[in-house]
Amino acid sequence: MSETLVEVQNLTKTYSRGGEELVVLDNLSLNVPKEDFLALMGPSGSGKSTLLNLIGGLDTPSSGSVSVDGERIDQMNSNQLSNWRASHVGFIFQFYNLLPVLTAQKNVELPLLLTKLSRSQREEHVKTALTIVNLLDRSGHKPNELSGGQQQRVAIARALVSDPDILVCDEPTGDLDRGTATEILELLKILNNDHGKTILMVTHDPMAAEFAKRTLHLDKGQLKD
Amino acid sequence: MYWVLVKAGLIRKKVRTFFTFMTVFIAFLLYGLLHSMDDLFEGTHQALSANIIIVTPKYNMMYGKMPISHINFINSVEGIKGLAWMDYLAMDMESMVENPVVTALGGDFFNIYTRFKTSEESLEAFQKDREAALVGKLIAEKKGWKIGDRIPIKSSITLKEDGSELWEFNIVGLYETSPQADELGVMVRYDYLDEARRYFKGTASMFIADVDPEDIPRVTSIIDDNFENSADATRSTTESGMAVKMLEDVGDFQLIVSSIMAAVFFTILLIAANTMNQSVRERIPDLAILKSMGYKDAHLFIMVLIECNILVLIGAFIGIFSALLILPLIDAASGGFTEGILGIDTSQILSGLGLGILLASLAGFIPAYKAYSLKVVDALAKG
Repeated sequence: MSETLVEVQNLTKTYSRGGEELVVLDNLSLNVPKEDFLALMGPSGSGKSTLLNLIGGLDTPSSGSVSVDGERIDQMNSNQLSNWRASHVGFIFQFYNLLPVLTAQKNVELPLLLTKLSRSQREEHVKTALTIVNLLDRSGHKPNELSGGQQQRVAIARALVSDPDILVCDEPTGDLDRGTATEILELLKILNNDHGKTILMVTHDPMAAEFAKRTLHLDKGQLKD
Repeated sequence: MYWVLVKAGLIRKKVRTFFTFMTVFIAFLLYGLLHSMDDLFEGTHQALSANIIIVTPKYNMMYGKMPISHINFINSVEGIKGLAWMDYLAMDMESMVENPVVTALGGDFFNIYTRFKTSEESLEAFQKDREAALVGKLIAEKKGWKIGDRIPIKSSITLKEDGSELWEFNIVGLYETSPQADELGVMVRYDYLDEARRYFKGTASMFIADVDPEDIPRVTSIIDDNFENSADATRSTTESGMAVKMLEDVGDFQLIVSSIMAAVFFTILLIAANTMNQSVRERIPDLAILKSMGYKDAHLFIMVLIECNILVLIGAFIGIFSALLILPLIDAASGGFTEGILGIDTSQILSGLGLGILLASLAGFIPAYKAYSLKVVDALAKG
């Protein structure tokens, strides 16, 4: 677990609100090794989600650099970032955001529609992802026929299906009860330990953070530990 | 790739999609039905003769009369190859419902108007009997008339010499023509009508001249110029031109139709745009998720445009196709009156579908651009 996967150097992100510059991340540096399971904690507005978005290539920094597996994603344009996200990163959000009219199988297949895989290859990948999250038997169900925990498992399968290097999780258990949250966190742990996925997770919940290999605290745009 | 996403977008709110589809369907049904009358409005109806000049009163084309003596001058114009004249048994609305249109013919009508066909025997019989009538095949079928019948026709306006409203004619033959709507009339002899009527003796409503098509502009201007400053000025035009002018006397139908269509399509544009806008607004988190997966801005722009085009084009296609199915029913219901007049040709169908694509693209552009320019971070923060 020593090889660095994510290297963040002197990262600053500012927003302009009402004519004033708001510094969300302030000259932050961070290294994330491969196969790490890192929990980011901190109060609201501390910059955790912003940091996650920058590492996931959803946003661009005001200054500083973000390298993932040696690639400078802060220098990529919008199309390059889209291509990069498609093959290197999987996102898991608090509210699952599954397409309501599609079955679990079709939802999981969505990222693969961007690839050149054949239909049968796509189906094979989807089957593998749904097996990992233990939902193969519910593959024909639509989101409204699944519980919150099951929907989040489908979202995890969707994030996994293109076999990304990093899983970026923004409050993945924020909308779940304790028992279901534990199941989801166990699943993330398996993905980290058994499947070698590097996981970056933002959470408010200290119990959730306990599942991570390490925890970093942010406050006012800077790392505290 | 697109089909899965487009289908998901269309069936997300099935009721809304259905109502939008119905709006488009009805608009294009209207498009099909109104454009089916183009031939009538534009005077390009193929059945109308290209070698015939119709001379009518200039200032009251539908109800005016001209002296029969006009035939002397018209006949003298170089290029006139044949001449016929017509008048009608004028009727009030009540009589028009019960009685067919009765046209009194003089001159060389059947040789000039070759689209009206009757047998030699019928024509001979017509010339022998002053009270003879040639009846359209269609009206004969409808009324159960046959050769040898004596038919009563009531005309409350064209009275007989003795003041009676009842005219009687002997059916001596049938005639056929195209469009079949023209078979709903009865043809009688002008000399008999003119002699037997109380008023308007020595007048005709219309002169019909056979002229080579290339001679038509010259001949029409000679005729009209000659009568220009008289009390009985004329308006000469081709048969199709007359059809257009008769309609113009009632109103500018094409303008009316175009205005209706413009209003209908502008409404569809707003409805389709509103539907797509709402649909995209509701799907902002979904679109953001797609972008986070690696879908590009252009993918989502195209997806929304395709969605809008499918919605509009299915409605357009079914609307126009329904119009094609309805036209024969209108023909049947009209008793043949509209047969051969109403129709939608391939170019009108293609124009309709082209219009659909244009409308869909216009309606879809702003929502598609919204999807294109969506910032994932902002969208997820709002979601």
